[in-house]
Amino acid sequence: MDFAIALGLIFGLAAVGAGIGNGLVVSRTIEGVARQPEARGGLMGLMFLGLGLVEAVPIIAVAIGFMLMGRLG
Amino acid sequence: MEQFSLSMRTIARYIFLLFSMVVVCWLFMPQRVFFQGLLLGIFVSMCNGFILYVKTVQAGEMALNPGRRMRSLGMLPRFLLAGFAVYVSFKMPHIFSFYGVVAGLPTVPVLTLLVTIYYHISTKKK
Repeated sequence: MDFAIALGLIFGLAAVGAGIGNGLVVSRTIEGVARQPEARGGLMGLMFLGLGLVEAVPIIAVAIGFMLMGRLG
Repeated sequence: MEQFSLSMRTIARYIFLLFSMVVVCWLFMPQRVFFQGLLLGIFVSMCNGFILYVKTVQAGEMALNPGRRMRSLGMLPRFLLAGFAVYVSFKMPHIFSFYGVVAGLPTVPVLTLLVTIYYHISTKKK
């Protein structure tokens, strides 16, 4: 029971962190594009990179959660 | 916008090159289960990258036309795809290696980072 709660916390906190990070990245990008529309290409490339890197962390957290489930559960 | 499309095309080319190299390794090396897992991870990463590309383009259009609204960033389907790949490798360890899938999942972000760093270094030299 405790183990299941710990796994849920791992997945949930990782998703919350990624959600906050994604929100920050997208809001800053949209702000930048609205201020300077000619820089749209570069900003969107940076947004793609930022979103990908932010989301790599929860994906790894999911993998670690499954690994712990296999080892300890 | 053209710069973004160009960099996406470059990244896609490198990913397909990496995918073909892994297929060649899968054919000629004895660690077949690991490479099958790696192929699954890279494939899921490519799908995630495509969803991210579509959503990024939509966000850019939304910034220019505030009348249009975006429903989501596609985070849920991407997480579900990655979780499904990890779950499959966890349930079928004789077909897909867990470590291979985990190594293949962050392929697109890592390649994007490398291509961006290379692009910045090469443009600074000029």
